[in-house]
Amino acid sequence: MSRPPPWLLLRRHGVLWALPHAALGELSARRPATTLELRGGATLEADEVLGLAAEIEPRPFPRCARRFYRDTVAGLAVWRRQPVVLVDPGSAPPSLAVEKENPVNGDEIR
Amino acid sequence: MWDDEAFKALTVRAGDAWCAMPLPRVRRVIKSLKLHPLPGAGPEIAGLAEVDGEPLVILSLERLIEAPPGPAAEFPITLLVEVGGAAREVVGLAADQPGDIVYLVGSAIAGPSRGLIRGEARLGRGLVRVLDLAALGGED
Repeated sequence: MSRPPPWLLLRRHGVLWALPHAALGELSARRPATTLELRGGATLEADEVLGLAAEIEPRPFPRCARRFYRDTVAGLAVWRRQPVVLVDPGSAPPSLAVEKENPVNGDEIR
Repeated sequence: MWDDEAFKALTVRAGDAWCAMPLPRVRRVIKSLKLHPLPGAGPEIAGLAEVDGEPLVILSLERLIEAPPGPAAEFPITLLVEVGGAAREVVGLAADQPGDIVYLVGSAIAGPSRGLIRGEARLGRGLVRVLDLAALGGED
């Protein structure tokens, strides 16, 4: 029996997110955030990368709650008794987008 | 259920309003859960939680029924309820105080029906908002 594909667990804005590991292209650790470049071209940012987890059991996001949450997600799960939001690599939520740094005095404006 | 037949309902306080919901739709009542935020969600979503190894979306009942803020919750609770019609789902409802189990008769529920609120019924503690949890489903 084949093992389920692993998920990459990350934390962003105090929330646990899981990304299909196969969707990850390149990961570069930077301070204060880690940048994740996806194979599809999107770039995400994480405060912390926790590692791979195979024991993720996806559950659908409840339809009744969709009207209160418009971002696209692949579902929900639990990891170590904490809820996890499953990322749809084709439409990552804005909460994971790379935050632009505020310009500092003296920065050249192009 | 909404005809002349009596049915059991659980009353809870959400904000400054008391509500009654059909008891067969209530799976469990548990003390308030540790909530995890869901960035980008509307205020109707109180957060995410874990119950028995399953992820759960917790909705704010106070927000859903647009109740004014009430006294501070001394014993906040989470209700695990079945919502929707034929295709039911389980979600959590965050409420401020558990009440009694009462009998309601559909014909005694009056007032305009809007969304989750089927109408109002007069009980010992005054008017309560009667909730139709089928209307909270995602089929629409």
